[in-house]
Amino acid sequence: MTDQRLLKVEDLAIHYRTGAGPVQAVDGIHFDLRPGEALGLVGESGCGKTTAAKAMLRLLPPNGEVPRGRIDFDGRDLVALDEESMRKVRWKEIAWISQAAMNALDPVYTVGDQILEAMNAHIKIDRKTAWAHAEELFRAVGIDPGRLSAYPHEMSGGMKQRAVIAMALALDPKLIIADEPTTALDVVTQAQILARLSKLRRERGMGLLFITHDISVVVQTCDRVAVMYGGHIMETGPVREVFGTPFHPYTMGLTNAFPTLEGAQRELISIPGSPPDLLNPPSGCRFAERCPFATERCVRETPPLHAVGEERQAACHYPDQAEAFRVKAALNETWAVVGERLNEPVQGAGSIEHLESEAPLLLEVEELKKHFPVEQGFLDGLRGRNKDRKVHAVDGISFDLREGEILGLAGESGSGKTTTGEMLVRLLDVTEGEIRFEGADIAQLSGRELKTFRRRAQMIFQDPYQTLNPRFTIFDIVAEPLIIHRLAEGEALRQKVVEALERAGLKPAEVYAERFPHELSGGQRQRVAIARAIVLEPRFIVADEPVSMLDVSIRAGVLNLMHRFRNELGISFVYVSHDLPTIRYVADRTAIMYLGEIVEVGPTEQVVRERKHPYTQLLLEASPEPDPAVVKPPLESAGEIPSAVEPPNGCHFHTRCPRAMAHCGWEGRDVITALSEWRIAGREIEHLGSAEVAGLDVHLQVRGGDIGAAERELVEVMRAKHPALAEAGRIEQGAEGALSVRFQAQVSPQRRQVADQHSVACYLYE
Amino acid sequence: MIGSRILKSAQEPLRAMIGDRLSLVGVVVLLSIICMALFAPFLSTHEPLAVNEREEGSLLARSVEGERTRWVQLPALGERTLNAADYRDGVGLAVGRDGAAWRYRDGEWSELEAPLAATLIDVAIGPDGAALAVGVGGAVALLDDAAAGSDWQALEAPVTVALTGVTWLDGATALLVGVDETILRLDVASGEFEALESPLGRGMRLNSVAVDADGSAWMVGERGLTLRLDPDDDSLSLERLPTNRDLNHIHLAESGHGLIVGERGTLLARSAVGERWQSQDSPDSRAMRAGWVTDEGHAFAVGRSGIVFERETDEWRLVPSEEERHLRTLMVTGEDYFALGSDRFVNRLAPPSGEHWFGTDHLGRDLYSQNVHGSRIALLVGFIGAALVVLIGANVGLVAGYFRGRTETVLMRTVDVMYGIPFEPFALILVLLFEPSLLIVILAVSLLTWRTVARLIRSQVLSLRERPFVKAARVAGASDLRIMYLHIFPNVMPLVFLELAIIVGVSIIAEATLSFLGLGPPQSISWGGILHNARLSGAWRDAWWWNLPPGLFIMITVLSVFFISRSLELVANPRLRARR
Repeated sequence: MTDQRLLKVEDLAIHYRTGAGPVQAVDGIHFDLRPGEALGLVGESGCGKTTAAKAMLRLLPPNGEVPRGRIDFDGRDLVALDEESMRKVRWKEIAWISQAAMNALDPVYTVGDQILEAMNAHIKIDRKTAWAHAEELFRAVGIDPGRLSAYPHEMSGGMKQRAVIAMALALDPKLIIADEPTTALDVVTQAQILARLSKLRRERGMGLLFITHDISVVVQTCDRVAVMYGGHIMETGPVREVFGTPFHPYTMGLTNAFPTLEGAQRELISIPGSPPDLLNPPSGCRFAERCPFATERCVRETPPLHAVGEERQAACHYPDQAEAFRVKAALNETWAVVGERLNEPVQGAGSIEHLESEAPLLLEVEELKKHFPVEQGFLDGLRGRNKDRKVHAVDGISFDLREGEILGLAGESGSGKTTTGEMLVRLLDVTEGEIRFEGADIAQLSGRELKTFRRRAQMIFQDPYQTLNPRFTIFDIVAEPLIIHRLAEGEALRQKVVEALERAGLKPAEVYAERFPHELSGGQRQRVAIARAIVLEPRFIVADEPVSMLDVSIRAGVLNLMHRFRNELGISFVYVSHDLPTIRYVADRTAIMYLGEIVEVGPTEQVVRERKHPYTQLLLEASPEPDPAVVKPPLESAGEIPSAVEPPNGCHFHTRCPRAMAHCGWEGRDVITALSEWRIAGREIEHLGSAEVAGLDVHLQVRGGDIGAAERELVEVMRAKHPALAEAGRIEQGAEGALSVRFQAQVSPQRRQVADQHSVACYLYE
Repeated sequence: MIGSRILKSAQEPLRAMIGDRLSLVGVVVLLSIICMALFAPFLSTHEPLAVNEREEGSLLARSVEGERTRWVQLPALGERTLNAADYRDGVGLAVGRDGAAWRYRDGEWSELEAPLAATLIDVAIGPDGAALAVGVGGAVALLDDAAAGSDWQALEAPVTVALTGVTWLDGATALLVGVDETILRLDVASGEFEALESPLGRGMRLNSVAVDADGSAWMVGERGLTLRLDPDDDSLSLERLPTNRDLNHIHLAESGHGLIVGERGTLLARSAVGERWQSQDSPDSRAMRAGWVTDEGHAFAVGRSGIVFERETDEWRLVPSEEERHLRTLMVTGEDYFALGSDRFVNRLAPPSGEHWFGTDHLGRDLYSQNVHGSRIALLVGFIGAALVVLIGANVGLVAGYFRGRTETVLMRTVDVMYGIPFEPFALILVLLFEPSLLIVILAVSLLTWRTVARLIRSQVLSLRERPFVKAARVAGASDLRIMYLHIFPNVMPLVFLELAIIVGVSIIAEATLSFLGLGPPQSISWGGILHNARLSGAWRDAWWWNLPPGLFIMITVLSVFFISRSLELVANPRLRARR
């Protein structure tokens, strides 16, 4: 690598003016970026990483200002640039991919027009060339070029994010700033987009500034990383070295807080406390307050960012003790010191051993179904069209939950895992099937019996900011279930609430009882939600993505709580998450769901290790891995989850399955997909005209009248999608020179036992 | 616990209200209007519905503009009623209540020192220029020279009853009449009174006395009582007149023309001495207080409520005048004709003054007090109506949003239907079906207005009911009612407060509209009602003081409420809050 720098940021500070004084969001950061290099900017929410990136394009909100510092980009200081020159730099030289791709596109213009617009704003280009360029870009990011004339609402979230990437690439910028580009997306889509972004960057030699809170994404995408905390950069260096052998205690905390999927299982630590108040930042090291190794000096003096190795810099006074720190930082006891200091006790997980007992069954779910009716137009109803259209959210699943067991429920969004969770606690009515709780079916309970059941089952929700009633005090919130069930009054009630709060790690409870939710941090709120769930001493709790919206440094605390309650109170959990590493960390057994069906279930370690079902493989391969020792191959193309309104024929996963066979349930819609993929690959379709799906079959028009050639082309197209597709479809020549491809109906595969407690629903194992 | 929770949810709107400058102005204005309503009885200067009367020494002059004859008001002579006036040889005198006395000379009126504290009822100037005034309690005062000075000399009358008439028989003697058929002859030089015996002797009241061209004196009184004092034999005789109504005044001209006026438009006239009195047709039947006939037979009569009759030849006709004032007497100089009054008359349509700050209406009622009292109805309807609206609207919205499904369809389609009903006709029919009352007005206002609130609250509830904390409550076993009212409702409270503020303004306007249309509760005062009266009376074109204050009050109140609600929008709309 040359010594030339594409981007050099020096002593950049950014303040937000507020009524209470300037918020020093970024306070003197240095970093640089070589041409064609990918730099990750990592940190928890509120650490200033997005602010720093926005300052580069001068996209700060009106109250943001840059009091000092330089941003040298390609020989110019962006801070000093006038507005017009800045406008030219934007998009032409530095492109921006934002987190909210859904909102980055204007809903009233087609995506293609918007890409052309971006081009026209900077270069002179005629429409035809521009359109051709846009088609090329769409292929590059993996979308059918035909979709250029689609409106944003006609695309899925992943597709929109790809379109935004295509737009960013349109003018061949030298630098792309990607601000959490995949946070809102599913793991599989995320993996595909990240792989695509990395590939394009390398091919085109663009620099990439990648902003994220997720170190596992950085590890897999970036060359170098800068870890930010409280407006300062704590540590920089090559990504695998920084996370492999961190020098800064904060980096150590972060790496130890991330659960790993592929690496060795270990107890996760959580960093007590919360990020510093940037309105009145502490005088010394920003992390000193939460650092278990902090000394007087750390509180007094701000450590400068200094070299600690080749290409490595860290802002810690004690880089020479890093080795000893690393060992200690992996233990929760070390961080407990900080916890006591901050009055926020740290509780370890106790034992994180997975249970493999033969405890009695607590919950047996059999052929559980949930269908949601689809609203249909009045006219369609009159014409008798599309009758009985419904979303097959959950389509006949069976599993069981043992006493004192944590069952993980994994899958992409749209797979029906949250619906399942809500049916288990009877938040949703059951369409069909049985839920036997301690032997009795609770699926159709109502009235008094249902209320009695509610004492035994609780739920924890995803969003800590919405899960507590903002008008209730913490005491009211936790006491409410007891009041509803008339279980305690007066002093007994208070006693129980205090006990629950302290169990959930909110000690001393009196400090919290009279506060309102908005006065608590996200992690504390989630703990209150947990306290509310355990105050009734339920038999099982459904936890729906309880940590996905929490900052990494406090996730472990909540996950460890689940372990403790399981171990100490014998509460069973159904842990619903799309995040396989956390499932691996907490769940004894794991069920993988896909389109309303459970495709694989078994002991977690076994499922992760053996990954029998192709979908399990896909999910696990797509999951980003924080362990720098693991190098994951990029995931190229894996499609997207189909609609649950009309789930695919046969095995629901066959459309995306690399190992699909002819009898997996191929159908007409797959031929349409094949044609689309053919176009993405950039190949022409010469003889085939429009295609129409009729049931399982598909009818294709033939252009030019050469039926033979058309048939050959069709076979080729189908083979390119999957050889098994060509094998399964029976091509017939219909009337008026049209072609039909006929398929056979197939049932979804049944789950089969492949090992003790481990079953898979796949035709591969039949 | 629940109380403190409601307080808590009210805190945010309160803070928003006080934080905004305009809204603070609104709060202050609204609070003062609320205080005004609360302390209306103490703040108002008059009874709002009481008719206000006033007294003055009214002076009207006859003016002729081409064909039209009018009596025009001249600057009043003091604050006291003028009961009688007399004119002789270039000097006029007018006397009235509590000894008021005015002199007319060379076209100028000047006030004289009061001769007596007693109310003077009649005055007469003698042929020698001396003047006699008589009044209540047997008061008699003599002014030697009517043309100059004011050294009245009180004479001791032998009676204590009210003397109601006086006339000079010649330069030295005067004839005084009064209540209880009192008839006194006064020898001015000696100051001696001689009581004459009435031939009737029934203690009836005599009202007026006049000297005829032939020297006889005529006295008229109650129930058509008429006496004549014959100068020849000095005997009193009862005269028969073609009426038995009360007669108030008699005037006899030198030429022999005579005029007697009395109650219910009684007019008796004769054209020569000795001729019989003829009853004449009167154009109006109100009581006439005084009459005057010139030597040519040109006659006038005046009475209560500014009534003036005039007869040039045969026919009496009504002459337009300043209508409120009660005219008591006439005074005719060579060329000028004056009518004087006026005892307490209804002070109608008076412009703003120190007495009536906002003026008076067509019935002489104090508009300031009405406006002050009007704030009560406005605020009552405003707040009760708004409370009712929010109560209905919030509950319908809550139930519809929470239960969804068929309940929602029924409720929200009802709301849609409500949107199709126009307000004024609905209120009109409601009032026509029932008795107009405050309750009906409040119902009319609130039965239609809740539709907006219901829609708004419903949409808010739709998003709240999907929040995890609602799900958490359901999982905890909370009943629907508990979730609706304990979990969801406090969270829509800020919105409810905002709506409450807006609806208060809407209700006040609606009440004003209804009252303006005359659909308001009768017997109650409201700003709209004041406007309604102004419109009905027809005086609203001229009497700006009648229209303006209620209009301004409505505007100020509604504006202050809207300023407050504008600040409350911050609570309901986080995007606005972020912009601050």
